[in-house]
Amino acid sequence: MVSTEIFLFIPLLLIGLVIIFYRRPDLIYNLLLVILHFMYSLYKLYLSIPLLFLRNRTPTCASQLSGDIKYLDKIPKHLAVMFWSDDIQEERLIEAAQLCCWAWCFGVKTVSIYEPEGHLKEYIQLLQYHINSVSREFISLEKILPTIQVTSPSSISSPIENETNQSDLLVNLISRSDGRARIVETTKSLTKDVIQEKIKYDDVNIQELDRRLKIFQIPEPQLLISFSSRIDLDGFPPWQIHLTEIFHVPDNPNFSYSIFLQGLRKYSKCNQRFGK
Amino acid sequence: MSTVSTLTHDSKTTDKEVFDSTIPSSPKSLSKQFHEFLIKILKYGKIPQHIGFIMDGNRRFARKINVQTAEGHYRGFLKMEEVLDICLQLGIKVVTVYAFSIENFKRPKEEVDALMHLAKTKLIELCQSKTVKKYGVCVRILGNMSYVSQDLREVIEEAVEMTKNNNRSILNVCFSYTSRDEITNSVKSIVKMVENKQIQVGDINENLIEQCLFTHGCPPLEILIRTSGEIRLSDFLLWQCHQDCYIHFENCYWPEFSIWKMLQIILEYQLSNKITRKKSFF
Repeated sequence: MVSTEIFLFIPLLLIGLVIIFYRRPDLIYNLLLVILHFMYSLYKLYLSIPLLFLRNRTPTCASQLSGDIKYLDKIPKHLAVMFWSDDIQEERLIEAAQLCCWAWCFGVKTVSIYEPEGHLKEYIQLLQYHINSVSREFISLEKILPTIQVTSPSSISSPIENETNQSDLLVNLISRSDGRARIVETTKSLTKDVIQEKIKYDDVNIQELDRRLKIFQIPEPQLLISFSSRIDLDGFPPWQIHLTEIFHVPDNPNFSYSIFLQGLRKYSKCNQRFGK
Repeated sequence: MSTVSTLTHDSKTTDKEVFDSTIPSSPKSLSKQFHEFLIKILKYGKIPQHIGFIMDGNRRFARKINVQTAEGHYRGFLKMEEVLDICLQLGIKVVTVYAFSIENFKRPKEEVDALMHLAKTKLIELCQSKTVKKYGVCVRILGNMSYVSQDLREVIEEAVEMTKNNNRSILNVCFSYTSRDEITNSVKSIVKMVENKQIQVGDINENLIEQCLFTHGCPPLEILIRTSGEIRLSDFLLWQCHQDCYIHFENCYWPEFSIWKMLQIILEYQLSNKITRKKSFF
């Protein structure tokens, strides 16, 4: 009895489907699109399998890095990273402190950490504390501890400026408001100066704009590392990234030393022609 | 249904053959139909409104296959036409390509001359091509024309004039362009407006700067593709791409870029778009 019902049911179902798809051909295409997306997701999952077996080693002391440093021909003076989390937890701040220590060991002079909403700037003191404690452990063999100073562009125009030259590594916390908004501010001040005839209209050029934007202490990074699986600059200051190498590892959305190192290796190998 | 698609397809191949007689073209009718089928499926998902290309790697491609640099640039031009056609088939409204940077004027004189010659001859040809007519493409040239020679400027004006009434889609060709120059240009025009008392200093904001860029009136850039495996923006559309834009670095030279790679990028874009949409829901 059951089997005859099924034999009746299946053809009816097929006929029904055929009628539906005949009347609404867009449904087939929608279905095919879903299948295509599904298959592509599977393909990407397949590609990410080897990443699971990758052993992520996190160095705990400076001497472990010397082997990696040897093979790099050039080091970015200014390294920028996209902050790897939406919310700020203690754990992430410790990771940031570790990253700063690695960067110092490799000879980087400035590290900029970009967090779009500007929440990270509120944790400036806590980050400084973690950097101090992590670096004491990490760089224990060095005779003199490096001074690593955390600042953010909005706080820098105060008297600290002279001190910054003395620190071995400057950690710059930047956010979306250091991007377009700074260009708007600069345009306003420039306009005022032109009206007050402090500067001639014809003298407004790229160099002048660049000089004025530099006041905000956001230098051009040579390398930008993103720990997410796809690149979305998310409002990173546009003027500054015109020649920045932007590094990320597809399908690997985690913060790790290995990505940091891969980024530096890639930078060391890249060859900028400056249009030539 | 099928007869219609084969008909359009046939006319397209013959057109292509007439156009690039130097390159042997094989009649890949079946694969082409398959491409069109895939495009039709993808069109049911989210399609970006505005896409940008940094067409890098023509010279290295020429070196790789042992031909002259000029030939490499020519192949690059043909590839641009092909990719433009795919984009328009997908329903993308605005395509912006980086053809020549201000920095590129530093290159050896013969190469710059060859490129200028290519631009002079091909620009008009591009504006008369089937693709431009079929999709109603308005061709615009973005860049700082003060670096460009007088005769080329005339050609550019003529080309822009030819297609200025087309309003279904836009091809922006960035020529003698850098993004910093574009932003500076925008800032300068704002300064001028304030000087002429059209606006006040307090009226200056992000929107105003954006409206004074060369790309004003275009929808926001949603995908930026750079070929040749380099991982920098090289001063291209900085203002446009640093917010809500999927940046993709493709590891092949521009003349090797293919429809497969293009469709894969669109798929990637659609999938990642889905994920971010889910995030905003919860």
